[in-house]
Amino acid sequence: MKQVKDSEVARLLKRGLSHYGLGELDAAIVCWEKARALDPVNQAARDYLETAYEERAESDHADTPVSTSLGVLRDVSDMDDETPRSWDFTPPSDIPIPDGDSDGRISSALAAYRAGDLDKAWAQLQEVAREMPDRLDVEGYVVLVRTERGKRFAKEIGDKGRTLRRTRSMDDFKVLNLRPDEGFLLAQIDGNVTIEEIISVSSTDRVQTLETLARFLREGLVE
Amino acid sequence: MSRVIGIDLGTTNSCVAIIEDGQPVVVPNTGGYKTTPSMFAVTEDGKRLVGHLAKRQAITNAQNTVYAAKRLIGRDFDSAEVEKAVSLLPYGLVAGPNNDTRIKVLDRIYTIPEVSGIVLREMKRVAEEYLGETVHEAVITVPAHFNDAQRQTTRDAGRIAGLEVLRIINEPTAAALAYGLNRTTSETLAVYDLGGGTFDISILQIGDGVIEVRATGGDTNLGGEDFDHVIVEHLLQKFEEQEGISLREESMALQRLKDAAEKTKCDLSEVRSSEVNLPFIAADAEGQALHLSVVLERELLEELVKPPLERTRGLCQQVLQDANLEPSDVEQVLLVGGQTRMPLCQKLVGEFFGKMPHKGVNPDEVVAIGAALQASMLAEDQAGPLLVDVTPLSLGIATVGGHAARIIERNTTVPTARREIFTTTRDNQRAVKIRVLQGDSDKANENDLLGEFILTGVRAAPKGEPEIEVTFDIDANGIVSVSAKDLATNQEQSIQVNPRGTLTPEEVEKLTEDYSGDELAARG
Repeated sequence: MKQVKDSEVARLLKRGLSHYGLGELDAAIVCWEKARALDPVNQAARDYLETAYEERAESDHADTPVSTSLGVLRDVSDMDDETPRSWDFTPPSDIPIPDGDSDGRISSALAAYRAGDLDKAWAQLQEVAREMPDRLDVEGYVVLVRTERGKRFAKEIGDKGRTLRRTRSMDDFKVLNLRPDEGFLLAQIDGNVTIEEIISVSSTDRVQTLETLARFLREGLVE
Repeated sequence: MSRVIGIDLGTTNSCVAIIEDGQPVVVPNTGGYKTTPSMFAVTEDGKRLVGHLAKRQAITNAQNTVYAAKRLIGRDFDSAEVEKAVSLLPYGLVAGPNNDTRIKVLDRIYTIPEVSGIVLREMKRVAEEYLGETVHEAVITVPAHFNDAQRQTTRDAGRIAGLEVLRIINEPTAAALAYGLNRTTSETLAVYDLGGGTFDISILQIGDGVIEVRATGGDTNLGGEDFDHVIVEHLLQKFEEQEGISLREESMALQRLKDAAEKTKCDLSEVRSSEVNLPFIAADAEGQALHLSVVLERELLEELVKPPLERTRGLCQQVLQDANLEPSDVEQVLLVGGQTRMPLCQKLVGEFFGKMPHKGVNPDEVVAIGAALQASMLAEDQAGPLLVDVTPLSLGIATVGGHAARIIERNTTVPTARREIFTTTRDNQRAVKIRVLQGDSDKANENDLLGEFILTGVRAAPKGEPEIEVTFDIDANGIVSVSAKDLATNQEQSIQVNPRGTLTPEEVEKLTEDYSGDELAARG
């Protein structure tokens, strides 16, 4: 019986993380609250809820809409986040950490995260997540860091309703060594479609698309 | 007074036109394009896209991008057309409750009129944005071969889009209107329509204010997409030869190749040579970017597209036979559809009919313009030309042994009435079952069943003796009435076969409400 309850709690925690990653804060809270109701001492549920409620309070304060009339929830990376969030998110204590090496890398990633080095935190966490795909705590950190990176790139890009154009012809870019997905994205930028629309038609992960677009802008490939 | 718009709801692209100061105006969408892809997509995060945006991700998000839904209009799920579509289309098709065909996108099932309604709503939005006023009424065009159910389904789609469809007119008829040919005294003309996904050839008789479709035929799976496909195939082979890498499983590369193929095809209608240049299309094992650069000559393109293009010749021949005409009997040929810009296509048409096709109206826009002209006539209550239709498929009844007896042959001008005498198959048979069929097969079960009824009170007599007269009557609105009468007893039964779409009126009403006020992510 306990096994069934544990798996349901794990499922709810995971589902909440998925919602959280998509910016669906309210839906995430519902999942985590259900998890806490099933297992009131679950540290992960309590930690997640603490962070989520804190974030919702900030969002309410900023009067940031999280949903459109169509019911399509925005990505959290869309939300303007002027004030840095507190980085006191501690590893859930009820999930055992099986090996010292990964423990060290997680600690290092979290330290980088707290220091604002999101790229380093991202790289380390992804590595650990690849090695241990079942680790719920790692998945949670990946979602958090991914979300923060998305916010950072979104802020760097600015108004997503504007159109972009390439500063040179596609041929002129051949001196660069772009990946096929970057080439695909660059080909979509034709001065007609908005950044938001480019994100919609991109076949890569939203945060990755934001990262690439931010880099294109930073390096003057597009304007 | 609110405007009535004309919409060409195409398989691949749609177009909307209005009449402004007496002149037809094709309304550009937000992106500045005068045609909008008839595509609808849902992204992984649930955002709905329509038009050019949907097209931009059609290959990278193939399973969730719906295109060519027009081919599925009014088709039963177990029909041969749908069976073929299942093997060709990347998105999911499922059976509806009435054996109608429905589309599955992510976790939602869409009806076909719903998907067409989404495209029509977008065309309505384009027109409203241009006019700065709400549009409530439209004239929509359909292929001349569409049957009653397909026409009714198109009406339903219009209603779901928030439009009252004042009239459904045939695409070739609209083209003739756009060319102003209804004003000529008497003429036989051919409308050669090669669009993105379908080919239609129609023979029209025009005279004394009457436009009559004498015969129509075509192929619902032949069009510019086939041309794009052969170009993509050529580019894939070239890249494989140059770099030793196959791009066939790379969706982003295929999307770029498809876009480039379409553009190059259009360019080669104007120039003799064009370069396909796609940097960063792939990467080698070391992560080094690879570029595709291929020069395509018009001669090579013509060689590549010749097989699909040649298929249109046979279809033209078939439809002329149906109309009992020779190519030389056709006085004018109109070109419709973007693919007819191709010089090779114009050459083929010229050779076949022995005269160069009529030019002057943009082939992408001609059908929408014709629809807008008809819309304007209706809005201003003008007496326009009488548009005379033909039955696109034969009508008849099922007979003993599973056979179909044709009573009205396809391409018969409507309104019309025909009657034939049938008899009983058993001694003292007092009742006969009349099953009304639509289709061209000699086998009853390969035709569409439009309705059935039983004639009772037949005179008791040895088999083969009673004379039962079956009469088919089709009025100007395409409504079919069938009656059966025992000539000895004058006992009679009849049925009216109303055009029926795939949805019930309640379903249409609900979908209309569901989509009212809906905004899709669409720019062009």
